[in-house]
Amino acid sequence: MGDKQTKILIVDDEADFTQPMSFWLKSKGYAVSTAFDGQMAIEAIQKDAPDLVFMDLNMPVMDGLEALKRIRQFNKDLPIIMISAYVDDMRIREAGNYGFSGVFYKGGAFEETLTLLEAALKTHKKLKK
Amino acid sequence: MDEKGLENSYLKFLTHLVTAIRKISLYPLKHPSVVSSMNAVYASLSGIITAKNSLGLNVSPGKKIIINDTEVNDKGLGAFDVLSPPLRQLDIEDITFSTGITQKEIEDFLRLVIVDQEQAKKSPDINKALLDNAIQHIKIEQFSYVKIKKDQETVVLGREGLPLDKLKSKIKDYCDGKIVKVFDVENIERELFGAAFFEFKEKKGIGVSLKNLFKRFLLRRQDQAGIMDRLKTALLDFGASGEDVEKIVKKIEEEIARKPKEKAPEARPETVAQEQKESPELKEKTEKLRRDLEAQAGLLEQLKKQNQLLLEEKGRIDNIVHHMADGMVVIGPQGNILMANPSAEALLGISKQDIGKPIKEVVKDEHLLTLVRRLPSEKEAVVEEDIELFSSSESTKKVLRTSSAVVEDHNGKTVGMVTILNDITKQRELEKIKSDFLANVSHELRTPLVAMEKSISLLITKAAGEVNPDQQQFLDITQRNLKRLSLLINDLLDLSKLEAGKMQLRPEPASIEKVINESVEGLMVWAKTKSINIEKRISEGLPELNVDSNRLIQVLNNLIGNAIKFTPAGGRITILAQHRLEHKTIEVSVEDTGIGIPPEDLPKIFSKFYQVSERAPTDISGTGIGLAISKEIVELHGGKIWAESQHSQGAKFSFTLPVTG
Repeated sequence: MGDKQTKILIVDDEADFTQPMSFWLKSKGYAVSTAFDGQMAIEAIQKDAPDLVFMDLNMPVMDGLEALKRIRQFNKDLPIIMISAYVDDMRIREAGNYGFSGVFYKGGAFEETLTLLEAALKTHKKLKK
Repeated sequence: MDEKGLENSYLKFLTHLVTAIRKISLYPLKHPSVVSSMNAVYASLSGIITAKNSLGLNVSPGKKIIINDTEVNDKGLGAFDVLSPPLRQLDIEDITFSTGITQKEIEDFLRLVIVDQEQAKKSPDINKALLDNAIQHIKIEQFSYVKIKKDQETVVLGREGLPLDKLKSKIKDYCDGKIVKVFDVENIERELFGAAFFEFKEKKGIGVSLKNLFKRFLLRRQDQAGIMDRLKTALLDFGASGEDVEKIVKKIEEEIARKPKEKAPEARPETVAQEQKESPELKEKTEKLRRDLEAQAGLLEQLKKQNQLLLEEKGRIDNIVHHMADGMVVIGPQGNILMANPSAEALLGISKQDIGKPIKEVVKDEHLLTLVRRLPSEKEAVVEEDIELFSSSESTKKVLRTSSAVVEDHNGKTVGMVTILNDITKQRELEKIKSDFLANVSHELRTPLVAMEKSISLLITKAAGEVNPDQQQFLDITQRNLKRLSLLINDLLDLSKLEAGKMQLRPEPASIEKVINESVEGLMVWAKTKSINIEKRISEGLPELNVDSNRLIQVLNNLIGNAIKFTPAGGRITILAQHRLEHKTIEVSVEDTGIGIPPEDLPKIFSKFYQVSERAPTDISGTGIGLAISKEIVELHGGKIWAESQHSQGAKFSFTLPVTG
């Protein structure tokens, strides 16, 4: 992972989900922080500048779709992986209009988050060059 | 059959024929409704043919229908307007049905004349077209087309020139005062004479329609004697024998004298004579009166047309109601059955003869009488009710869904009630299967769940050895979510009980404070994960209640659980309990600072499976039955439950429990 730790932000209002997921990513050597909703996520991105964000679609106050829209207004390239509970969530298609790097379905194994995450970071690096 | 009987059977035949024609214009030929009306036509026709050997149907232009030389008054049936247009299309004037006719011939005939007119038109000779279609016992006579020659000038009455129809319209124009020139009038007269001559030559008689034309023409011409003289001269001119001339004139005179109503020709000349003597003012007045009368006649004609349209519309609606799959019954304010369609008759177990009788006398199943009991002055728009019909055996048990609405006249007075009856027996069966399935599945789901819960608790209590703090944390999460899952499954089980009406309470004396505390304790950990603060405000000295504590904890778990779900992190939930002395109840409320409920959703949130649109689908949503179950539990306790909310300003759910003793 190079000399500097990669910073990941997980956004989901369900602590029972973010806790095990943070633990998993930390165990793989990432620096992980969490946010409860879209509003908190925007603040965290502006303050901590994470390298990648996992963002749930369903959240109170500001949901993932709205948060994605707003984030894209000030940060066009930040890799964001959407989290969804349903495979056939129609909002994923709508999110496509704003650009995201992948979708993680909650029912999937944690290993998938790693695959998605590494692919997203790689693409991001290529684009930077 | 005597004359009267014959006339009745003519009317009957005409009625069936008109119905059949209306139906084949609406339905395919094989439709049971068409078939049944064809049967009726055949039956009534056979009766007449047996008595008279044949049936001649003449639809003359004078809006008259003549069967076997008898004019049939159709009593508002509108027969002429149904029969005339298609027959006119094919120039048909007379139809003769004779002995040996089969039902198939009638069907084929009507198909040819009403449905497949184009085919019939293509054929040069319609009678040949009938024979081509194996219709041997129906003969058709078309309007006569004649040529007359006068003063070297040929006036053609026929397909290529001037058919009787055109002559008719000319005479109409003349009668309406549209043709006034002496020359034109004389022309019409001559054409009429010509038509009479050739019709007599071909048919050895004068047809009804032609006689009618003469009558109308004479009514206007006001010069009967003169015309008859001119007619004689003209006929002789055409080459008719003296004998024939006498016959023709006699026939026409007979027709004119036939009805006493036709006195006008004699009366008119008198008026004319007077007019000549009277002052110009009187003449003007008379003229005005005449115009008014004509205008009125026009109005009358219009009214007749409108009446006809209404009759047709009514026929169509009657047809629709008759063939509706749902039963429809109309009951008057005194409880009499005013109307019932066949489906309603079958569902209510009544027959046609029962219409008009009080429903109480004819409906055997007393459950069905709830229909009438709910009748008086209902202000609701529609009353829906499911009625289970009594039956000793399961297999014939029936459930009817009824929706009734009060029928008011234009003054707002109740004139009865219309009820739609729907057999929902099948639906009920399916609902039962679904409930049974739910109960089964819930039981099946519980088994593995219990195994997990037990195993996890062994790990958490360290009965199976030490666990490190991280492991402890994830075991806690597992246990918490297993608890949530088991609550959801319990909800499903309760739902199946609720639907089967099998939910029962086990009441015992309990303190509401204890109940609240127990529920809050169980949910505290969950609330903490979202940094939600739960505050309790319980009045002191609340009386003890006789309640099912476990069920009430379930209600509170549901209300507080919802509050936690829909309140953002850092929010607050307040639980209030107070004594409402005036209502002899204890009122418990759960108030949150969450996203609230839109006002349009408030009335529906206690129904099964309902989820506030904006919240669903989300991964924090539940099964949508928690509130329905809570409502059932509170109501089983004799209390009430309701919700208040300002959208985006939190929600407040309250319920009451009666204080007994």
